[in-house]
Amino acid sequence: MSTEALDAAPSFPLAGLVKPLVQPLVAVAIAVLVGGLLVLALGENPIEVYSILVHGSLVGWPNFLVTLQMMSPLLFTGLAVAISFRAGLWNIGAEGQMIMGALAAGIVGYAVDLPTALHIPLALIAAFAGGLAWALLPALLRVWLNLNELVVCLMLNPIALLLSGYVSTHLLKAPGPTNKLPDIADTAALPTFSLYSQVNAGFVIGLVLCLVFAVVNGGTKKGFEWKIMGLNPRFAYYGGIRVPLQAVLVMMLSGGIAGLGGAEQVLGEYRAFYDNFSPGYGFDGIAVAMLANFHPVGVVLAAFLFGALNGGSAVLQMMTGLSKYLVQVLQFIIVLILAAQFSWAFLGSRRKAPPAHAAPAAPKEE
Amino acid sequence: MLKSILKLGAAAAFAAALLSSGAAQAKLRVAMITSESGLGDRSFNDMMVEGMKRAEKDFDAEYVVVQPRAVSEFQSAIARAAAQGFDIIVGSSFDMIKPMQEVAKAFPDQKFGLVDVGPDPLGPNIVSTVTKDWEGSFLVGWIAAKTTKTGKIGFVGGKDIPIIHRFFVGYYYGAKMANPATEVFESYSGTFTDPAAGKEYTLALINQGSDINFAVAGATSAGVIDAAKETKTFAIGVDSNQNYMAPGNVLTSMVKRVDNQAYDMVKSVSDGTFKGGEVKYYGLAEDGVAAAMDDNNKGLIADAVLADVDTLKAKILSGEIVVPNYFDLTPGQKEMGTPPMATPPSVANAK
Repeated sequence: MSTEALDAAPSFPLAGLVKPLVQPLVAVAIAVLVGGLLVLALGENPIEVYSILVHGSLVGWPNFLVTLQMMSPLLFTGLAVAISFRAGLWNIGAEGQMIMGALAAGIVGYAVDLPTALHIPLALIAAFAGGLAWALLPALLRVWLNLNELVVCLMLNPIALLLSGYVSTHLLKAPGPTNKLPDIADTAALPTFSLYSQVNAGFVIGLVLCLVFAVVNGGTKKGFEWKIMGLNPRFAYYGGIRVPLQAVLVMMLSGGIAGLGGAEQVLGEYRAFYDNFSPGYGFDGIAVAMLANFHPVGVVLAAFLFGALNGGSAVLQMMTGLSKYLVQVLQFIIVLILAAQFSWAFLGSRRKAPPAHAAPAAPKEE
Repeated sequence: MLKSILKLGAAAAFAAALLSSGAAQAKLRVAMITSESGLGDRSFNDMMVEGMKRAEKDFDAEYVVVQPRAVSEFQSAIARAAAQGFDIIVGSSFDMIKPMQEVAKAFPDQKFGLVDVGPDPLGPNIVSTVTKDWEGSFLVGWIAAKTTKTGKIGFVGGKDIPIIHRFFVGYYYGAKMANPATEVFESYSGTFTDPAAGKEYTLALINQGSDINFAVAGATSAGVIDAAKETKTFAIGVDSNQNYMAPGNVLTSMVKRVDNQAYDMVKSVSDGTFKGGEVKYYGLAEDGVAAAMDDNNKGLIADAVLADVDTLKAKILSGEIVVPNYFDLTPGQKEMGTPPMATPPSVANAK
């Protein structure tokens, strides 16, 4: 998928804008069609179901704000995955990094006594550091020992869950029936705007981050280096890019952003660290990043789509009696189609490559 | 293409909204909001849906189930349900208290119900329930004492805290009433989340001769049941029906009948007896607690013992039996309940 990006020298500017939208739109369209057949099989009217879904996610402030709430964590995890994947680093550990960021924000949020102007930034920095630390381990193992970061990240996810679970059910548990840390102080809370939705200032942070990285990716030397690394790390190395250092940097940024996503949850939505709070935002982030073609602006659009699906889901359940799983199935179909495209392109590139290049390279070693 | 779908969707949604508001007049509309574990949890959410199904039949009601994926989605789900104008919105889970109160303040005419929470009234338009778990524990204590072969039964609590003592005192009282000679061991694993610890504590009780152990310990309970399976003794589950976890080795489960509690909430709206701010107590007499019987524990409890349940229920209803609530006891108290019986050593010797 990403290999095409380089040789695409658009003949006229409009094609350059339209082309990256084609694949995701095809995936979404197929998902909508297959989902429609599914709804039909369940004995409901697909047009009615989709219209309720659209209505329940976009029409009216309450619905729209819930969509923004649902998309907020995905802005962070989607961006985290997108910038690492773009640089050829398979950080699928956004879930664990987000949990560690959330834990750090939750602890700083209640244990520290500061005025708002300092408390929120400190909690955000703690969250960034928490996520960063959790991404640093796979990054270092990658550049020192050439251990596959994909596997290490994957294994660190449940460790983060269990570790934070231990902290929130044993070490620092708040009194009461729920496994959580004590509530954060009001001085650390990110403000919300509506009774209907927990969307909070963290949404704005996520949006700004996406825009910042759109500029970094598209308009700076660093962004270009990361892209080359992702396309061909050996070429990047011979081109004078310090690949291991950049790889660690990208992983740290990626983890830190996922950690900030945890802060959005704890400081804005939950107002305390809850054990096992995430229904899988980190994994949804992978789907969002893939749908976005690893482009930060695409992340905003893809997160909006997933947010709308989940936001409309509750209204769909209220009005039709269909279960929440319908919306999840729609998401999974999108992921499945994207994954199929992805692996098809990957296999295609392997087939085309001459034998000498087909040998698995370990280009990140110096 | 997407755009035209959107347009079409918006138009159809408008039509659908019109239609559904027209149909709403005929039936009682109920929204049930699950806790984050959702349907299929084999616990409160599944049980409450059972109550909804019965209510749907009995009161010409119509229910929908909304399953938030996370605690952070509770408030938006409740608020949007309130905006849709359901006749009552029913939920469960301690984590739903705050979100429901927030929404209830903004929708003073909307009726809400929350099952199995604390004794504090939640608001002028919220009905809540408290399950008398001590009466359920009394019941399974009775059954255990009537069933034990060794004359010794055990209790594995999660933590040594008052809310868990309440289960033990009921259990002890029931066992002693069934057979004063029964020995009742009291133990606390110190954790609600560690099945391995639950197993260790249970094996220790079994070594002392106990052949039936009541697990009141959250996830730790799985270890209690595991130990029963391994040693071919019995465990007793808690809260929801856990008989399936080791068929043949779970004697029964002390279930909180949240289905009845949710059913009664719909009923109160249907017959106009809904009283906001009310806190209802559900004990044995109100069918708020029960000993779960299903195919998994068929034949494990003698019919004669099961027949006792109705007698006990009647006696509790008439006041002939009053199961002691731990929170009413004072440390060092020597007798408890009606008819009076000696308190367990942990109470009698406390200072």
